[in-house]
Amino acid sequence: MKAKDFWYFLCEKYNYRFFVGTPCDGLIPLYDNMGSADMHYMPAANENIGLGIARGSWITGFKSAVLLSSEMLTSLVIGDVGIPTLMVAAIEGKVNTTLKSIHLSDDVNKLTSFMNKLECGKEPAIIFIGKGDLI
Amino acid sequence: MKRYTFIRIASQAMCEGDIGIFVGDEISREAYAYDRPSNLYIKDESYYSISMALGIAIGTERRVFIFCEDSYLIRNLSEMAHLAVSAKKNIFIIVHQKGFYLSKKKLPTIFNSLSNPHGVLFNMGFKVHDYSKSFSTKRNPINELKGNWKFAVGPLVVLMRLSNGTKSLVPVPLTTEQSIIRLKDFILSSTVEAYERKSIPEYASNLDISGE
Repeated sequence: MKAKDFWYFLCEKYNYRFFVGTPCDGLIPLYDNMGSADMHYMPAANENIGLGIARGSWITGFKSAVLLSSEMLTSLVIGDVGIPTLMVAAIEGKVNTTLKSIHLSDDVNKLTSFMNKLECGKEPAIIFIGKGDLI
Repeated sequence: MKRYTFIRIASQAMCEGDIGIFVGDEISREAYAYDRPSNLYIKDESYYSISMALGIAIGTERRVFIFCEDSYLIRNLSEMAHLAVSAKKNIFIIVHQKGFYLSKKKLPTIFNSLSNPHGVLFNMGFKVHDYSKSFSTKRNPINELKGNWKFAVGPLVVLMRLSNGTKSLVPVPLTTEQSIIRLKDFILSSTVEAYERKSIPEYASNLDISGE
């Protein structure tokens, strides 16, 4: 999938406008294709702070997502707060998580049903991006 | 002044639309005695509540007050740095400066060992108020606090040295999840946020730490 198409999918189709995260090599195509007209990106000091900011903006009615590396998923304090936060994680090293997740692929239908489930649910979910998934 | 007295005064000094976030089980209990629909009780201190408050402050123009202990502040200094550089004018942090963990057998924290906590916070980018010597001679502390906060702009840290003493209050009946839903309903039920809000890039445009 093209990085621009992925941004279009998140920003225009699902109205995600606010992104927080920590830098990660696997997400460089996404960083390269960010546009200030569609979204706002805020760098976070660490992944937990990013998650906290995303949760806070969800409380005020804005959809937001966290960009991070899959290695950092183990250090996240998820807890039971009932907020469906979207995380976009680049696969780096071993992936070890119990959260709902999907691998990014060209099948937009799968991604659409995943996003619909996320919005109806109360738990965070992850879109994993492998090497070469985004161009 | 004892902590529960200060929380009562602060709860009454906040305006109707202000959001109060109470971090920690004991602070939540004391605040719940003066419950407001715009209060958020986070009983578990591990949830990065200050960043959550920053997210709320980015998404709304309401004033956001965070009540926490000095031990929480020390543990999450990176969150504090984030808040300071965000330069959001609607964020206020009220720190109960005790020097020890109130709930954990009064073991000491390192906050009081800092040579200049005001300087640390000021150099991060906060405005710093110290109310430790306030309220002693005034007749109406609520009006005094209202006056202090009326024209104050954030990011502001209020340090308040409090005396010992706790009340055995009933636990907050709301879970964190219920409390969050209640606050969300409160914010979105007001006409301004729900129907006339700007887009998030406009709201967040005054952040200095934009990646754009």
